[in-house]
Amino acid sequence: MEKLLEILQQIRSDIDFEKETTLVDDGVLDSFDIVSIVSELTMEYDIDISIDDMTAENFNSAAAMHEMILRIQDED
Amino acid sequence: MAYTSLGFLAFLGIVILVYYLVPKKYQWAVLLTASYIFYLFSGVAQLAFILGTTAVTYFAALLMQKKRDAYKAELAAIGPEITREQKQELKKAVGNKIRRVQFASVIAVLLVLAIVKYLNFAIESTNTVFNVLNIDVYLSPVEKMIVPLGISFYSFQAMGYLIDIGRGRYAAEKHFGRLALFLSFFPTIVQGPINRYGDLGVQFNKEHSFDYDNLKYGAQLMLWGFFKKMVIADRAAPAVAAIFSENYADYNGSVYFFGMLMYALQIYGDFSGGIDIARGAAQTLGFNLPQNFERPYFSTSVADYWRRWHATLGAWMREYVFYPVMLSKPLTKISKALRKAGKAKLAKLVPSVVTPFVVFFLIGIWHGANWKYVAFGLYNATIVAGSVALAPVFKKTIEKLHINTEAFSWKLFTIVRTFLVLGISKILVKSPGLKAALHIIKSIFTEVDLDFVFGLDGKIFTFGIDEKNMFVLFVAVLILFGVSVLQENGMKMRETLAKQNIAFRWAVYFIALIFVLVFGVYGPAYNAADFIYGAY
Amino acid sequence: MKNKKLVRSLVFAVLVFALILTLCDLFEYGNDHASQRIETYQQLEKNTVDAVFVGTSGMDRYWIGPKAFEENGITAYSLSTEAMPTWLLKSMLIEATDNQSPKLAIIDMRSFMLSYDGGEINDVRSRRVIDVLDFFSYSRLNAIHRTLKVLSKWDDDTSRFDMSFFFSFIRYHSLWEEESFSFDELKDPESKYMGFYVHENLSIAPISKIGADVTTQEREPLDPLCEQQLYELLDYVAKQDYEVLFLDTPHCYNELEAKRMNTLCDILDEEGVSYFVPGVDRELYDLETDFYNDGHVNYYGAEKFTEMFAEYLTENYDLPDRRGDEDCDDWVGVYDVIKAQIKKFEQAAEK
Repeated sequence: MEKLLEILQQIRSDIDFEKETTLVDDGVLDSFDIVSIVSELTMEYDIDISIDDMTAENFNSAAAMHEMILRIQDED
Repeated sequence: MAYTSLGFLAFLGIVILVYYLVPKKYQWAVLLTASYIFYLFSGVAQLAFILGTTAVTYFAALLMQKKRDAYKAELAAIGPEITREQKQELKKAVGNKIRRVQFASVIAVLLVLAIVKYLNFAIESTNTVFNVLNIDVYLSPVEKMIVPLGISFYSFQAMGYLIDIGRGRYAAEKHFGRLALFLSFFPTIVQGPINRYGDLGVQFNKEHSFDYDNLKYGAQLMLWGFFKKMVIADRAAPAVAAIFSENYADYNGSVYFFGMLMYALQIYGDFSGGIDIARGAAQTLGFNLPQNFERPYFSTSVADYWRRWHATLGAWMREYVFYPVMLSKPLTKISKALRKAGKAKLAKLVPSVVTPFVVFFLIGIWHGANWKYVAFGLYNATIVAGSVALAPVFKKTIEKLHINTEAFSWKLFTIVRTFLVLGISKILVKSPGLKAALHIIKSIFTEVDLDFVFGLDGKIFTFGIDEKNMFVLFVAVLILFGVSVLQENGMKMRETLAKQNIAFRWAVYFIALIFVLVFGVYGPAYNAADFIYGAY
Repeated sequence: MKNKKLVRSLVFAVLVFALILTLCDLFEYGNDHASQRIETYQQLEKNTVDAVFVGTSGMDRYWIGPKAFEENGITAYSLSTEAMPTWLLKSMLIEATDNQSPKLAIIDMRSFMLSYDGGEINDVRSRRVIDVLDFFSYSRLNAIHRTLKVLSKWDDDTSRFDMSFFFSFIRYHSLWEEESFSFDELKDPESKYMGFYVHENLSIAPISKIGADVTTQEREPLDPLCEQQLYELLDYVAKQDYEVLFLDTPHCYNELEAKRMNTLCDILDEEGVSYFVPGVDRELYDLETDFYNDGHVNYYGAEKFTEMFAEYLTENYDLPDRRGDEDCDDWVGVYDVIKAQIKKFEQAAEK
């Protein structure tokens, strides 16, 4: 989680990722941010985020992203 | 049947009446019947197209659902002792099966759309290529191609639905009628918004009781739509038609600039007004349609604009084109390779630069089968990709110049800049041809006619908007601007109005009504001279 | 709570409808005289009008009703609109008998001389009638129905728009865009001349050029549309309680009109319907001072025509002398008002 927050902070330093829970729903993150996040996560965690994982729920908060990462790691 | 016609109002009135009177379990049938009657107004032959697409969509989705259900049943049958490998294998197998159905059905829907909308464009383009290469072959375009009403809209909804079902986002609709209704719902069929099944489709499964507020708010939104469409868009229209015509060479840069402003008003008033009418009509029936426009002319960047302008098309593109392309194997491979080579920055940049070109090429030709729309798409893509690529440079420059990006003046600057950048893309689309567009764009920057700009020579009133019309247009735009500023600051107009005293509320309604009735452009063209010199 | 909302919605709907009617009423165009004429007619005491004129300007420019009332005791009222088309004569007759029971209907023969090719001109002529009738009246619905039926012949005419016949506002709402528009135009003139046309320029203007006054024995068929409408009209009036007289007020014909007039007289003879075609009597009228154009007399000509025709009516029809009848007070003194108005025009012109 620490690592994730660090990655996110690097991409968008102006957002408090610990508090936000509607990052996608409220348009805090735009699609380019999401793609940056996906490509970072892919590298850092060595996971394959597929198109099926690209849902608002998975990216609305740092916690949700963390959960998604764990799930994908588990499935691999 | 145009949304601004009396016929449509009467039609909607009857539908509302029947819809709330029948037993709630038949409400979907009322809407489906109404939607197909509405569709029939555009022609009988067209019906075959939408029915065909609906059938393909319905059965393909069910098939995918069946395969997914079978997979789940198999998992359940094996029970908890399933090995990881087994599970992965099963998942992969079902994934492949579903993907095949998904691919085939999406292609089928797309193919119909492509043939109807783009075949002639493709044929003519091929002919041009042959001509350039001196190949003596001429393909004749299909004459009298039927373009079914709203085919872009329902096809996009169908494809979105098929992809979502393939991805397992939600269960396939088992009821043919409800799916047909999702694809043909009459308020949305002409010009959107483009709905996702998860937003609109599920609402058809619910029962809708009569709700006074829905009726009231819906009617208000429709009136606002009529205002934008009939008072603003249609009043600005003559100048656009006159300036961006074959006679464009007669005018100077300032006239073009005026034309561009009028076109910005026209297209926003027309499109967003139409969407307001559609959303308002849907609301009177108890349905919530997504926002499609969020004050696009207040955008601070081109990317921002495309989130605010025709937002449901943008969302569709993001969901079904942008992400898939970004996450596609070739692009991820390139990224990975670059990263291994130690070029992390470039690795990140490549997908962000490539994808906008794909998305905007599609957005371009979505607007029309013509090379100018391709140019329009590429222009937007270049700017969006360019601003992503150059973001670090901009950031550094701003820091060096000590610009306060929080200041209102900076925001205003970005808004005006974005508006002008997009004005150019509007000219690309509106000009009679690419060559004309380039001439016009160049002139805007090189020729300034101050007499014209300040209306000193009165020429500004000679493009179909005379002094009186200009005054009305000006007042209407002021109203639109005022409301937009309030909305931008988070005020919900209709809720705020509802809290006011009845005298004030009704005064607002009646003034709005009179304004639209008197100053709207509608009805048969009429010539006062006929009445004066009508003989005897 | 629910009832309150319902009541409120109903009130709102009624107000919106009232607003639309008001706008329809306010935004009408170039029809001041005709609408004033119809309005005044509707307000007259029940069953006090003994003869009505229906037709074109050939009626209201010629017949000074108040003069005939003062001098002969006849109450004959002109319900005319400019170039009233043949298919709306019937609608106007329905209007004429709504509140009155005239003994005689005088039908303008000029309607049958007009040329009816082109949807646009017919659209305008029809609207002149429809727009002046009461919104809720049967005669108006009848007029709209008949007009739409006839206009469907010119279906390619894109300016036609059915709903705008019901809600005239749809057609006239852009009135404010006209260069000459002023808000005064939205107000109907107040003075009432009992159907007679009083106009500051035309009433005293002399003719500028005398047209050909063709007389011929030749025949030319009527416009097929007119002929069909004529027979339909004759069928209709045959069933009514009033007598019918076809009238052609004196004006100059062109050749085609003269030939068609002969045909029309032939048909009326055949059908046994009476008609009166006095022609431009050179003994009676001074062509240079009594007309303002080939088609119309001015006020001086109207004086002469009224005298002559009032005499014709009293000789041939049994119309009561209404002078002294309290119900006919509306007619009293109007002739003086007209004469005073004309005097004003003359004085203004002298200056």
